[in-house]
Amino acid sequence: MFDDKSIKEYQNIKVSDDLKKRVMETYENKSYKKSNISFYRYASLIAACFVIVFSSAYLMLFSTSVSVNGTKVSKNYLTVQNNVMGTFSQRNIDAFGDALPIELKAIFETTISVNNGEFSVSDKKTGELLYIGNKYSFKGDVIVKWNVENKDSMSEMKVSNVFYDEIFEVKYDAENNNWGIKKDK
Amino acid sequence: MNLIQDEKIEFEKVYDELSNLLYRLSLSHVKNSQDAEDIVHDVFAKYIEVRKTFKDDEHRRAWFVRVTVNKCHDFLRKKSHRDHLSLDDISEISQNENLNLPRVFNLVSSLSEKYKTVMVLHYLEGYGVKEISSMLYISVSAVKMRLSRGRDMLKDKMEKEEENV
Repeated sequence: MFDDKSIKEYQNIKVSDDLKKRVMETYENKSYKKSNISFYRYASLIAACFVIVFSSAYLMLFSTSVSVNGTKVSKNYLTVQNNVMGTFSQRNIDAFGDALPIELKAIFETTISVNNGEFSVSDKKTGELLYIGNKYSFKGDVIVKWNVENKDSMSEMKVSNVFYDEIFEVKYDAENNNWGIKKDK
Repeated sequence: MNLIQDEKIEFEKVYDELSNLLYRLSLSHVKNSQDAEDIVHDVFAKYIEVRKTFKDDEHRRAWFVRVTVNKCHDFLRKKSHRDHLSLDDISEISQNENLNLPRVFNLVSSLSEKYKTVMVLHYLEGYGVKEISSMLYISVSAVKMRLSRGRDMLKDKMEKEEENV
């Protein structure tokens, strides 16, 4: 359609060097702003992820706490005098007589069950008796008084929630009239 | 730091590769060097803004050409609204503003909007029919039809010019 000379003339139409400077300035300004925005965006995203991971881990690991006389039960035996008063009211202890009082705090729905004897469950704040038996589901703060029937054998209490199951071993020392409790795993 | 530097080098490479094509294309529409440069600047600003990724160079070139043509149309539309004229009228009037452009360029630029872009891309920039069809989102047959009519119009214009001489 056109001869080479005309096309060459056409292709000699070139943009000015000033435009390159302008465009590169725009690039510098916008990239700087963008990289800053990206940095803050990524940083806040990472921070949010950490918060989610740590709070999930916290919830998973400590969603239900089990303690006796104000001390959290660990893998080592915790010894407690039979019929201890501790943090519990006289009324709670009297309600079930000779028993091991255990305090449980549950963020999520938790089920407790025992393989030996029965337990009573009372609301920690009001002292109201909620349950007597060997398996109970709850959420919140309760006091469990476990009446171990056969005190000569090793007894177990299972605590389960949506994240895990835990077994607590309980033994009675008749000589010293005290209880030993520890987390099995 | 190297990543940022690499990105800048890459961007500069894209600019060097496409700026003249986009400038000539814009100039054929707006017929004023300053306006054409402003359009090219805006196209690159948009590219920086959206940080689009492309399959290959052809895909990127198509995006640039499409955005440039759209920006030219927007520019002319605004101008025509302002001056109460049609797009082609604006094109005709603007032609007088430019000086010392090759005859071939002025001839192609004088075509109506519909034919100008395909004529510039095919006969002056050397792109194939298929690539132009993907650049402008129109079918291959539409490109061929526009080229054929554009050629006829151009011949008429050339003949008229010769008659006048």
